[in-house]
Amino acid sequence: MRNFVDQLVNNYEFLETFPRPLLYLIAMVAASAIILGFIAILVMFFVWLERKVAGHMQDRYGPMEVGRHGWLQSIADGIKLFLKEDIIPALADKPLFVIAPIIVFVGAFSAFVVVPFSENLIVADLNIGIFYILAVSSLTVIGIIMAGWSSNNKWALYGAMRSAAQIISYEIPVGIALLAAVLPAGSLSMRDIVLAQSGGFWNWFIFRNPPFGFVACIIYFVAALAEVNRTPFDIPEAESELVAGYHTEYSGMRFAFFFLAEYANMFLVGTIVTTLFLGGWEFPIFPSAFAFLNPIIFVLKGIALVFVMMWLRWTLPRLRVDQLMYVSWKVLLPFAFACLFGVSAWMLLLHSA
Amino acid sequence: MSQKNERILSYLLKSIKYPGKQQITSCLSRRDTSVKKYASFKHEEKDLTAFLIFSTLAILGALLTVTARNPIYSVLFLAMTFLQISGLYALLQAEFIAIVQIAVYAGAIMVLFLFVVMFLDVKEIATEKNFHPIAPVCLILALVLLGEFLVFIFYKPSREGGLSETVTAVGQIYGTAENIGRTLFSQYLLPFEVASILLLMAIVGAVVLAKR
Repeated sequence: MRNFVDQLVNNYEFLETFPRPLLYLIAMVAASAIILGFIAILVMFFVWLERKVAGHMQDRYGPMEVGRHGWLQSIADGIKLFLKEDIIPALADKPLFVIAPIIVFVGAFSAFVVVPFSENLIVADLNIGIFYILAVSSLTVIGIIMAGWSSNNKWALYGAMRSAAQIISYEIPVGIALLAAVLPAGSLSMRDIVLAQSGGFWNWFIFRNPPFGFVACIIYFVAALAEVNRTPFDIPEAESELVAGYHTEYSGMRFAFFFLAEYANMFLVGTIVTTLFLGGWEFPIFPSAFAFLNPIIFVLKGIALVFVMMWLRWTLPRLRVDQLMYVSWKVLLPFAFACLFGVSAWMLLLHSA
Repeated sequence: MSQKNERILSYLLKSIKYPGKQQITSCLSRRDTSVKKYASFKHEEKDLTAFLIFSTLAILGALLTVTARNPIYSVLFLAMTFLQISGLYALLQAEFIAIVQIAVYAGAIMVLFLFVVMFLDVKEIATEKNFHPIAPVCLILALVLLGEFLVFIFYKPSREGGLSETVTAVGQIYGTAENIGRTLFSQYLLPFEVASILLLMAIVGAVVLAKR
């Protein structure tokens, strides 16, 4: 970001009259605003897409009224949520109730700072990028617990408890499965990881170190589904048991924050899988010829993975709490360790050869 | 900033050492420089602002942790303090530790604390005018701790480079994930492996208990 501003100042003389720190600040705020706006628009598209996918899978159309095939439905919903009355339950813990959705929202959106949309289209290329995402997204669970507890509602509290248990358990297979991509790349920076996979789809980490790269990718995807509370792991907000889980008492704009954060998290999982295992911004064949398409390809890969999540949601039934723990600790975790071991063994073999 | 505050600040800067201290003090003395000179903006002056923000919020969070009457609030303020401290680590160029601080303390341990506190269903503690009989002992212990910190900050060891100087020097070299890994797997291999076996035992123990 700083280099970009310096370049800009070199090219346009009149910018030198402004103090440099101010320019850096403006550039940072502008970059964050662009990311925020872009993700928010994408999230509205996902909300519409989810309803369409659900509809077609159940042999109906989904939203059709607002705009052609209901494409303006999300905007209508957004206006509705804006105008709704903001209700805070009388016995709720007011400060926590108000802050909780914001923490969840911030946790979901601030992770996008290190997502590389193309080689240079990245807000901050931290040298611990992927680790930063893990840390920031682990903060959302605090927001969820705050929401559940402050609502003063037993369904909300149950939802928050389940969510906390689930997120903490699934963080472990997530972290270990990620290492299967970090090891061959030799870096935690998102950009370096993508660069290490350049040159066609056979170089992607999902196909490297067979079959461990592939298994690690599946493990990460499944565990990440659980981390973002999606079906079949949506027990924290299971409608048929808990009304709506931790956001039962929320309405209007505050509910919209939770909603946006959920879909933003889905896209975040999609982008992480894309970055770590599916070659990031690269076109599968002859990547250098399609370099101008890079950001579009990256977003398309992310959207495709989000579609897979929706597909799973309308296909699979929900897991029970004990099954959920079984999957995490007895299936995903041992396989994740095996992948880590296998990838290291492959790398050792190939390096010594 | 008034003249007096500036003097206090520069005195503090003389006694506390952290990255870019020289640059900050020089920046302070050159406060009246023109806008043109601002173009050669020093990275370190931003560090000072960030340092003051982080440390103020950390102290505030710690105070609120002990004064909050609702235990849930205490835990949340503690989480806030941890976040600020991770910011301080980032300023010391120890990015890895900063992120570990968030992921482990704020993300995992605080969540377990919250879990326990919520299950206990602790009510708000009524205001108590009388101090607990143990209060004087606590006061003495706190004063001893404060004294120790002051010695650390102001004491100048005879050998080259005081405590805080070595801290920054080490931080600049070892802060990154790569260097931490290198050090752990070469210089501190044995203690590192012993610690990991200990943790592995704890994990196996938890699984065995859960299987019953």
